[in-house]
Amino acid sequence: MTTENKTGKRRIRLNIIDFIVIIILIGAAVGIAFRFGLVERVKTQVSMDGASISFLVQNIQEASYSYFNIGEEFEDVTHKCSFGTLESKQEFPAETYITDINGNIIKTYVENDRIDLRGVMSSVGKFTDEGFLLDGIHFIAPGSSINIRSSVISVWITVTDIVKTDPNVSTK
Amino acid sequence: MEKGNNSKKHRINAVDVIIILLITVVIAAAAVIFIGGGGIDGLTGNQLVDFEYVIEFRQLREEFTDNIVPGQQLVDAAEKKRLGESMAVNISPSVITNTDMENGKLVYANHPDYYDVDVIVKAKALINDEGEVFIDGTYRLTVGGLIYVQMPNFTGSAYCTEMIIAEDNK
Repeated sequence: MTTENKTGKRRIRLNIIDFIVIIILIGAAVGIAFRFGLVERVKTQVSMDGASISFLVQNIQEASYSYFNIGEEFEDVTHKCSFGTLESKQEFPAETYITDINGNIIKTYVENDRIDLRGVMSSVGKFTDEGFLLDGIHFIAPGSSINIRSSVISVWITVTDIVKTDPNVSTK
Repeated sequence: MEKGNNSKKHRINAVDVIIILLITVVIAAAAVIFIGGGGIDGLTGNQLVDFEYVIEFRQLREEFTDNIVPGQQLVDAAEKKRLGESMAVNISPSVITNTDMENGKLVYANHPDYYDVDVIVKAKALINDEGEVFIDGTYRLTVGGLIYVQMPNFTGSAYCTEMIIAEDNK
């Protein structure tokens, strides 16, 4: 609250209501920081681990293979963070299954310019008792389905394996 | 807020009252969201009892089957609620129902690459008067319900196929 003293100067004086409002605002700021993981982000980013994330892309066009550039960075669109740098890639004929006349299921491969792609991404995160946290925050594990993109391709992948490489990688 | 003679008097005006009411409403709402709201109707007691149930991951690729092992903590991926600990794991080929076109009979064919994984989970649960089960007092479990499961080395969706309630908890 603003008041005037004897010399006519305006002074700012806080009453009890102002004090309560300030306390509530501070509490709200702290609550928001916890709610959106800002505290965890600060705590974990000082000691992150390097990780190799293996992944599988199923049944894509053969021409898409050349858009996966080794050394290029990929963004995790699902979690809105960096996913990592592509370290290696391999292409395989796209698997599919058909049923024969006796009802048996037979594995075969699509020969119409379709492939499965397996790759390994060099990434950063935190290994915890609950699993791997990408970028120190987002839980991912084998079985996770994630949309990633580089400058030239956007694709859905299935994580197949996560292995710790370098402990305590410093970031940012 | 202050009288003309500069004597200190804390008088509360209409704006202050509105602010106090707003703050009270916000605090009450926060309390309901973060503390309350999890009440369970018809609860006979607040005791968590030992409880086991079975979930089934269907048609997993073979490379994932080794990632599901006993002794892991399960968490609901959607709401981050605890679901219990895996006690035993049973892996079997996925069975697909097909038709033998030669004689018109049903065929139960094993899938060559996909597997069904049954996991027995042990947890603490609340069971109310209607027999509804709440894992850890919060997660409503039903047979046939789809659960989004997180484990340290695997994540995926599974169906609850069986609830095993001890006789003394019925």
